[in-house]
Amino acid sequence: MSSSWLLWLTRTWLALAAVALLAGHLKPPGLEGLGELQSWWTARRYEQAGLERNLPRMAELGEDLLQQRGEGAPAEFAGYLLAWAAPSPSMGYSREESASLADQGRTYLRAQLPMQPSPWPSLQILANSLVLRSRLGQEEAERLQGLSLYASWMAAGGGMVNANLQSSGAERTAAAYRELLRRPAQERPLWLASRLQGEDALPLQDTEQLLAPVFGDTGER
Amino acid sequence: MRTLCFAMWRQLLGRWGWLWWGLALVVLLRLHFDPTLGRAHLGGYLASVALGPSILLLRLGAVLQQRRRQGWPLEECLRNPSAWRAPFAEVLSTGGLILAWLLLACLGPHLPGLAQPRAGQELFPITVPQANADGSWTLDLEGRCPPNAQVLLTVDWLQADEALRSAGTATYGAADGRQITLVAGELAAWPLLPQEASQGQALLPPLPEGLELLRPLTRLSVDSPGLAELPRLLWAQALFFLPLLGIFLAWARAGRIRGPLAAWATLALAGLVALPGGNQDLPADALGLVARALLGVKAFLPGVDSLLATGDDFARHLQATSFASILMWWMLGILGFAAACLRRPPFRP
Repeated sequence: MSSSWLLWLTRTWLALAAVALLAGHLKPPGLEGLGELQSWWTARRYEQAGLERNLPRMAELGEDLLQQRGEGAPAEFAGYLLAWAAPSPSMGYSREESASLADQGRTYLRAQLPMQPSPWPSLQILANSLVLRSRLGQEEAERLQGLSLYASWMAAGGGMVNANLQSSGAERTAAAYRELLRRPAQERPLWLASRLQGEDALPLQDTEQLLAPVFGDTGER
Repeated sequence: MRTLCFAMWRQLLGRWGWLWWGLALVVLLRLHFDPTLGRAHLGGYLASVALGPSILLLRLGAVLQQRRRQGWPLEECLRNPSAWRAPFAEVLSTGGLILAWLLLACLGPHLPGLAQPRAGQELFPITVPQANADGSWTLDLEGRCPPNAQVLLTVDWLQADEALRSAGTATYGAADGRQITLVAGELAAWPLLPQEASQGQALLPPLPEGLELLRPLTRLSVDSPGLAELPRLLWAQALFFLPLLGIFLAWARAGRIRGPLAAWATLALAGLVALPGGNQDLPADALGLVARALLGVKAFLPGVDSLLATGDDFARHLQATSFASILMWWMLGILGFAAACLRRPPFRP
């Protein structure tokens, strides 16, 4: 039917292309379109996990979304819930349970930070959690680490909330950072801690209230 | 010719095919631009739209094979000794369908009630290695990026000397004349040179004494186009896909390879051409060898990968494609079409 050498050449070409595709060195047109369908479905499962208040599942799916389509917000929100909102005293967990949840959230946020397109909000959550949600007995070391991260967050003026928006209080944060620089080194931790508990504290909301508006728990979907 | 084209359309789409394609477009629009369910990201939409021409090419391969089994090549020989009418009808009808699909995909997102993708900046993580001996950093940008890309730097001033801390600003520059002002408490945007962007490697000069770069917070910032740019991006897809038809016909007709096999081989070639250029760290194992061989083949093909910039990181692969590269790509397609028109003895099914 066809020139046998050309047929073999075509088959070899296809075999090489299949190997290269599996190794990620080929980008067939439309393949990313199929990936988009997969990540769309992952996003729906993430929302479902939110409706079920399943925080570990949200964290897992948020990580999947970050890897599949480089979208950082779901992982950031799951980290926020684990490291900051869920361990809050109003949630009714015992002190040990809260500390365990916060530990999980901090480990999660640390792991996601290098992959986040906009790492600064995660950095702020991590700093808040380390300073204000630490486990008994580890407080001092974690607090100092948290304050250091907080100073890094301030050095970027709060960074970009998303790729298009500078942090809403960028100018205020930059001015505060310059004020920090003017203080003697030994005064800085105390100054940072007081500011973190006051002006730059993350809003603390009940997880139930937080999830409902975000995931449309109103029967709209 | 008109009869041939209509016959081709009927075979490519089937009786209710147009309805399925319309439905597919509606689903795509809801998936991507639904105000609550969609992400309104142009790169994802472009990737999904690129599925259409790929499916049409595979469908053309299946139709050619079907016709071969029905004895069409013999008919072609008897009816049209110069043998250009059938290949021309195949290109015209499939190309027309590709253009119609891209046109509809261009108009779709403008429908009311859909979320609009925003133009602006997109950020991408980059790995900053340890500083070189002179305090500079060699950045691997993981492929080429647009010439107006910037590197966002977060700088720690806590260890700076008293004068620098109280001033709160410092000048940061490179020997080539690039210079920016660093301000304490603000992100610094370091512009890349065009050749750095095209090579995918950049050199960050050393920071002023006492300032420290927070390496894990360094990001690449590129401009992302909005909906207004969609026609241009889809036109680029058309420029990419149409020559593939000629290449496919050469493979299937002149090479006398089965249609589906030739279609997959053409898509694999398109995948190689669409692979973003730039330096890549390839492993030294067998997979690395295969990848090197393929990249060697790619070096002989025109650099039109930016025409098919799709996916989540499409903004960082958007480049101006040179007219010469596009012309070479089209010449390949035209040569393929000419080869497909050469007289060959009838195919056996």
